[in-house]
Amino acid sequence: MNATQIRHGLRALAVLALSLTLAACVTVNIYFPAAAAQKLADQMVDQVYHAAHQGHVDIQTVPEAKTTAPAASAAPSAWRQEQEIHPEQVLGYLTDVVFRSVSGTAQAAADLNASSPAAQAAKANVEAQARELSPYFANGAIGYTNNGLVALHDAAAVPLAQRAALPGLVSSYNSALQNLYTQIADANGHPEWASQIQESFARAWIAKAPAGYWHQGPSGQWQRK
Amino acid sequence: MIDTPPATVLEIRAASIRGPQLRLRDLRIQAQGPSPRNLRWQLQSGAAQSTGAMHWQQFHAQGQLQTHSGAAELRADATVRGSVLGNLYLRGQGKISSRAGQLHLRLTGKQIGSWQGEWHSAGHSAWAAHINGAGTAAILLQQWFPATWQPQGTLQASISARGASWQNLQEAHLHATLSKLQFSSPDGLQALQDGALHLDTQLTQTNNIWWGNTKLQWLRGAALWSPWYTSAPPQGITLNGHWNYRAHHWQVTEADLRWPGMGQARFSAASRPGATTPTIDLQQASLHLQPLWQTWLRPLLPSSGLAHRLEARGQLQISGRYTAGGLSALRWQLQDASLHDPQGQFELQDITSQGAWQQHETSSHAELRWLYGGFYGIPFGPLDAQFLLRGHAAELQAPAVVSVLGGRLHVNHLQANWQSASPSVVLSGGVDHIQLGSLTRTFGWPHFSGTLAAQIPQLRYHQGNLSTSSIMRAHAFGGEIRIDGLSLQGLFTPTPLLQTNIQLQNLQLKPLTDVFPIGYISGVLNGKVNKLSLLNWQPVSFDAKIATHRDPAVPQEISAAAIEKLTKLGGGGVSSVFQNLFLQFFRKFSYAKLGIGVDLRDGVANLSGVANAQNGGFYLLKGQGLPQVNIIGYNRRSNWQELLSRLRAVMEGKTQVATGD
Repeated sequence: MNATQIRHGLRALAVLALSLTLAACVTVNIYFPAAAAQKLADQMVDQVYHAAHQGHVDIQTVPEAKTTAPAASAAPSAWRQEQEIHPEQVLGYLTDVVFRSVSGTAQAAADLNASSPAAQAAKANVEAQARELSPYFANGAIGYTNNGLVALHDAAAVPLAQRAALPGLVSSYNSALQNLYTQIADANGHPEWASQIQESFARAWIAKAPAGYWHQGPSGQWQRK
Repeated sequence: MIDTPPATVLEIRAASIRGPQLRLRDLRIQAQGPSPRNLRWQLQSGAAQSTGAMHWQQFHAQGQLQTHSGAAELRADATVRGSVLGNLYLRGQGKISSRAGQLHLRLTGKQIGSWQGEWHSAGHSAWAAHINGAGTAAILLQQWFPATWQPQGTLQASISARGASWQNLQEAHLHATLSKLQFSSPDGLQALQDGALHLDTQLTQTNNIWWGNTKLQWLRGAALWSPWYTSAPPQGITLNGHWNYRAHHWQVTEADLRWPGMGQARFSAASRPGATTPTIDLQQASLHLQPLWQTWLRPLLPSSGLAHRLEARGQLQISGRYTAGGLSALRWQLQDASLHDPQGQFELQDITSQGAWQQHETSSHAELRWLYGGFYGIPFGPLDAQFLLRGHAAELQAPAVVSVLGGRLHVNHLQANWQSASPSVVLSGGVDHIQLGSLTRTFGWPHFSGTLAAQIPQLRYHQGNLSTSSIMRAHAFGGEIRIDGLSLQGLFTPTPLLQTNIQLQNLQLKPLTDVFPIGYISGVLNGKVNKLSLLNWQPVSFDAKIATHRDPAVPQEISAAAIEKLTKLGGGGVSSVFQNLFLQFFRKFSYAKLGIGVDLRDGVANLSGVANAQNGGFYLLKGQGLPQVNIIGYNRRSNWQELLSRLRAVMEGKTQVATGD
């Protein structure tokens, strides 16, 4: 065994020790699947707007397909390249595989779905109320806030007789929206995601709102789409 | 040589006058004339303002004062610019002596309109006055509403008053008509449109007590005070009242409110020194329930769900007392009433109720009766129930029975509690002799007959959700059905969600298959349906396993027809060989085990059987003896809707036995 081999061997052992130490200290972080949440929000918001426009509530017994975050990158590209392979690279890759197998749990949780019965019920309730509120969105009496809820924008746009019930309808719709966000988070086993899901929906409600709808900008100012 | 009398000249100038309440600039008073008995005078001032308020920008008055024979005669013309009432023009003249006097005034301005006043004194300090005119009501309305609400309207008024001495007002009479009234709060949730009011008040003073009779009429317009909205009926709404006022304490001794279409009410009210809320005694109110419900009660309820849709009719007589602590007593009688949901989820007909409730009494009573009703299309019969009322709770005094679906619902215990903002109802009891055929027909489920009995240990309704923390037991088909952890969310919403777990124990297949047209099967069935979720009464997920278990006293047999239908349920068919060889010779077959597992998720049913077979198959029926028949399924995944339609077809006997060729 020459000096180079000994040096490579020692380096490999050091990398192995370091890798095992790191692997032993791995904290598995399950990150919020922002892309999947946005995709789900876009999909559901489309359906709610469509139901409100068509005037019917879509109660799905066959839920929409799961949406998944973009797949994780493949193994390091260096693995496939033709080059001299050092023992520490092999060990490093093995450790990486070990790590990936641990963190694989996080990747598996990056799916987001709204197929639980409670989430379906919540969505159907939102659709039913969105249909009732549709004329008030169209005439600017109410609009979407920048936090995924609705608020009164111009109550005077509604005749006096109908205006009386408007605050109650807004309050009821906000409860339905909050319930939807909570149920989606619960359905995915992460109640703590509710606020981030709400943010995803906030973007979707505004981005997909029909022309003429009012919504709040980032600083809370009202603007017309 | 002409003898000219010496001129009398008086002039006072002040650049600024400051007082604790008033600040006046550029004051000038000038009086001059041939004698002190005959003076022409002028009064001018610049801006006058008090703390935070500008009274006028400029004031100018001039006139003449003549005195002779113990009487003073005054004429004056005044102009006020930039006042809170706009620009004003005042013209007046009068004559005052030690025994009598009279004054005539006329005040005009763009905002204030045109007003005339007269004052007479006939001697001994007794006096009478009259003012009438018309103008804008904005200034008056701003006393009651913020300026940002932009109150507008016109005022026409006539006031007559008289007094026994200069300082003493003895009697007054006010007629006022406010019309074209409107205002709107900045958020638009409090508003009035095209309102018209008429006020007629007479008041007299004796011994420092003011006595008044007031008639207030709301003649026209629509008012919004979210969540309430109402408009004046064509006949107008009239409030008549007798009242008195003494040393910051007022009392309405008798008042009568007449609201055409709504009803009428008699009440009295009084303010107590130091109390912010008056005490109101409603002596008698006769009300039509429909407009009362629509206008005043329903807006207080949640804006979605049943309460928002419910329509009410009937006649209501109520009396009660409202104090600073809230409603403290109530007595009512409800007759010929009904509650009706246009969407058909709930109705009660021919309701009568009467009772008395007092906040601090422990034993008030009430009774409630109805003739019939419906719940999600399930009709039910009459009720006659007595309740014991407490401060914030009502409790059923004796068990009540309601007929439903050919059987009976026993309510052994029922308690309603409205201590918190969201009332709750807890019920326990049971049902017996419920006809399953009627139940399945109502819900559009596959038809089967038989009767059902169940115990309901505790059922709780709170915020639109039904739940039970105990196990409900039903007895059917010789066995027991246990329903555990039942919850029903959004009961009266468009999408009610029912979730529960069900256990089946010792269900006899023979009576079960007698009522299901599936063919003859005997045996004893156990099973469980875990995490069952029904969304809008349709299954969306569950994990079910049902299978027979051997009971030495019960033969395990299945008919050929049942085999055919079970096979069809699996999407397959019976081969012609089987039909030719066996069905014609054997009517029944023995089996070792029969069962199925269905795990429904995301619209897909994952199927399993009582045992695994070769080639990935699973036994739905495992036969025994000779001839032996097995039913093996190979398709482990099935579209739920398709499976359901097959089940429905089998139940309704529409299945044609396929040959399988």
